[in-house]
Amino acid sequence: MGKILTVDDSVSMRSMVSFTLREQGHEVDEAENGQEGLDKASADHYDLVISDVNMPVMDGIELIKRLRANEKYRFTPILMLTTESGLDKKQEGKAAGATGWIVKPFDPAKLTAVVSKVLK
Amino acid sequence: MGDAKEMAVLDEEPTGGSDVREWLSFRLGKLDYAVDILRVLEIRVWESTTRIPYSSPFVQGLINLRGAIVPVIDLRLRLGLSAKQPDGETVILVLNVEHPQGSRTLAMIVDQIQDVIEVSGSDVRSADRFNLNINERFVYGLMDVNSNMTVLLDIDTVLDVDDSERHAS
Amino acid sequence: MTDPMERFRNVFFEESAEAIDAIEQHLLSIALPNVDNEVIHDIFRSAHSLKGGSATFGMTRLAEFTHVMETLLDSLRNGERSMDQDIVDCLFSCLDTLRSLVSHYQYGDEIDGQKVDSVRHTLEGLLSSSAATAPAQAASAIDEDSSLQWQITFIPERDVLKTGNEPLRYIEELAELGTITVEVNTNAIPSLSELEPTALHLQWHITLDASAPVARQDLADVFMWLEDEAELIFTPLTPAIPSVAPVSPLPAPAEAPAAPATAQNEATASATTPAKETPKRTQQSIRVDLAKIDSLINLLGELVITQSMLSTFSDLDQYPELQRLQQGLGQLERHTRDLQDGVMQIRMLPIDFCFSRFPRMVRDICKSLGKEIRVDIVGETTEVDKTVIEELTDPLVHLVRNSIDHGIERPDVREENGKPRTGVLTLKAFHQVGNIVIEVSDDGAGLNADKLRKKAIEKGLISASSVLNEQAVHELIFAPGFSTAEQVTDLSGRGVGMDVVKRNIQGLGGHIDVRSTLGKGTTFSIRLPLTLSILDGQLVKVHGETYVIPMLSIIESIQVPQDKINQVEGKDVSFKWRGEFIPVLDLAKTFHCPRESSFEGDPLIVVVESDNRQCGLMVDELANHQQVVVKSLEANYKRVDELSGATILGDGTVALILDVGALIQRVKVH
Repeated sequence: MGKILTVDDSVSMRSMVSFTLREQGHEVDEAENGQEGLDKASADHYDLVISDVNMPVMDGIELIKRLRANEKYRFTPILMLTTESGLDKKQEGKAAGATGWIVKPFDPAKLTAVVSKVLK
Repeated sequence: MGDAKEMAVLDEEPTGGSDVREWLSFRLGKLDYAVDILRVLEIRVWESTTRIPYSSPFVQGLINLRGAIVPVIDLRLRLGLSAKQPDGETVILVLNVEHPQGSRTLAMIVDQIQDVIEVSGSDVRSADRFNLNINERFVYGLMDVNSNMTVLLDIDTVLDVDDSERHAS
Repeated sequence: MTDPMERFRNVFFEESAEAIDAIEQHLLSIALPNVDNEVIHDIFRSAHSLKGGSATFGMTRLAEFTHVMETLLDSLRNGERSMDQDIVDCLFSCLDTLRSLVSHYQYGDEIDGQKVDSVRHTLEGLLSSSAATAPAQAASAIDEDSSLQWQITFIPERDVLKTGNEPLRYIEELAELGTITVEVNTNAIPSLSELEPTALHLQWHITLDASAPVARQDLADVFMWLEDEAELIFTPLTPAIPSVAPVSPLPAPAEAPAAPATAQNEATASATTPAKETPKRTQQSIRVDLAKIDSLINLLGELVITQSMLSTFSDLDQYPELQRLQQGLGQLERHTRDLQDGVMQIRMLPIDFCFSRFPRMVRDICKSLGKEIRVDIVGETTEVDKTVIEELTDPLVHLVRNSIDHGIERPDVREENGKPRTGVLTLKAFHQVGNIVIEVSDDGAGLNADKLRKKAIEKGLISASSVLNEQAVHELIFAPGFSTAEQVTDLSGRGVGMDVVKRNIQGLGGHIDVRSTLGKGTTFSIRLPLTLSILDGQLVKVHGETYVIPMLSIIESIQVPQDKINQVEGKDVSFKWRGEFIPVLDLAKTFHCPRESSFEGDPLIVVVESDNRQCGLMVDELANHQQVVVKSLEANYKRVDELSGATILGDGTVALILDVGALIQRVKVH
């Protein structure tokens, strides 16, 4: 079981993600935008970061770039949570250093499967 | 206060047949009256109230019930009986009342708590044949308890404090 | 236990309401042709989260609708098209559709399918006019070939580890499809001295044996996240369907195209940003059910009572050891007060919750009236109790409508009078000694005293001979029966007059004033207590009964010799105060107090004021001056004339709160 940070400006999304993951026994922290995510990630250590892309203050792409620039998070899996199945965002995210992505809408089972795969 | 004893009796009694309900009986003057026990929220010792200007004579005043403002009705005056000074047995019954505008909490002063009685639908007799000297809207029915007549009250009408505006009687 | 999904759904509903409001705010802030890029981004983001949430929670119609909206917004965001009036109008109509779709899912409300479709058509019309520049989605026919056996070549890039990817994870996942044989090619590993520990130098050749046919797409899905970071060759060994040549995905783009694009966006943004300030970021907050706060306030009321009950144990002479207890009690009192302030603060909301509806409302009304009005909002962060905001909304709507209908002139009329075509309606809020003041002003025609006077005479409100100064004439608009009938346009509507507005405001314990200059404009000023649930009160004793008089309405308390009070038939009727006769009400008589007064001496008179009229309330004595928690009499009893509620005192008993306005009204009636 891992310690996971979920970053999303939507409370419903964020709480659904963390509820699902806590059910699986993970420890989950939440942040509501990239900046808060970055602050929490820097202050602590997470085994996995799941971040939305479109957020106020600091978006997901920027968050990923900043996290990768941090020695602590060079190899940590970071997943993008995005509705944009369009190539541009994925590539942008990948270029910034994302490990992979989960496409919204998703069901809890899919999220669980992806997370357990990444944390294995 | 005698209610602890009554509660003990209540505990011992088996919950009877399907239409059997429990009523709390109390005394007012020479007669026994009863209210549906499920409506009784609390039994309190008598306490003084804050008079409300312009209220009907049967409205005794207001008390503070854990932060809620609750009107107290003098049941004697409400039923057209003579007034009586409170004594050591006078209690206040706090009741849940259904009002057209929603559920309310009201209290009423009675002389003395009697007993918990079991009332089944077939035991209840119509009050039509008796001249009870009280407004029949207030009466749900009559009941013979050990050959003592007990008046079952319809608490929602008895404690409808602004009924004078709806029933110009 | 409630289903957690249900809970998240409810959170989503709250969020969507906020998102829709946010879009509305942004749309209102747009002053074409200048559009702040940040505004479009924010609108896009709101629509985007609506789409994501609605899709996740299975609200298909909402998801589909927001998708179309998002597509349009995306093209605006990318600069493929620019914002114009048609788009703004269309987005405004989208808001209503969004609200009805949300309430459909939230409350099961019927959807007006035709309306939704028509808005959607408008959206799609706008989209197709931009010649759908969206790149044809990777519609490249999915290669349907499948095979029981595959040969897979997997050559990750050197830096793949730096994106948190672990190649073995993919190989393991591959193993879930069938039996795999893995061959590792270590040829590329450099000598130890050149070895970079964070780089990957391995290549894999994997043979997959499956019991059921595995499609090429299944393999691609396994490596989906790496398609740009690895060379992948999938070769079917026992093709079930004629195979296509091995597909090798495009090499990863040499450089991230993202950075320059963003920079460019920023550049254009700063170039076109008008002087308009961007909306403030909302502060961190949580949502709390109002009932929870109210029960907290009730509890706190209890605490205040207990605290003041304890503080009556002050017999120091008898119990010297009480001193320490008393110090503790003093502290408890301070903390209780702080706690009370803090809890009351929770109920406070910025007045913006009420103001924010007006720009849209004014915009809509102006459109139908052919007027041009700008709404200026000042002090929208001023905080006031939530209940006050709720009660304030209707009177404000009325005042604003009134200003639009009767205050601000048509653009041509304004021009003739040398005013700018666009009128200004200002909503302003500020705090002033424990009150909130809200002003609705316009730079319109102002009140015409002659006309008002004539109308009042016609309506029989004043006699033709009455002498009134200009201010008094202006205030006639609040007289009952003055502003009804004629004023009922379809907008001011519902026949509600200014008298009702005034009554509502007074019902809240506040008052309203008007100031007007002919030709320059009119200002309505509303003054209200900051909260309706706590009141600063003066306790008074009347024949053994205790009443509370709101401090707000007290001017002073004075002892008046009995012989200075004019009596008619043994009833006190008036006394001279500050040079004028004002009526006197003996509270004991007014309220028919049954007990006799135990009090002797000259009467004590509390001079109170409401609506610019004074009155003396005769009481036996003044008791404490304290904050009281206002409780409704209607919850369990009914409304009582001349009382505005009840409260619980330190000794646990109930005291009634006087409605000073109604008492003064009574004097007039009698």
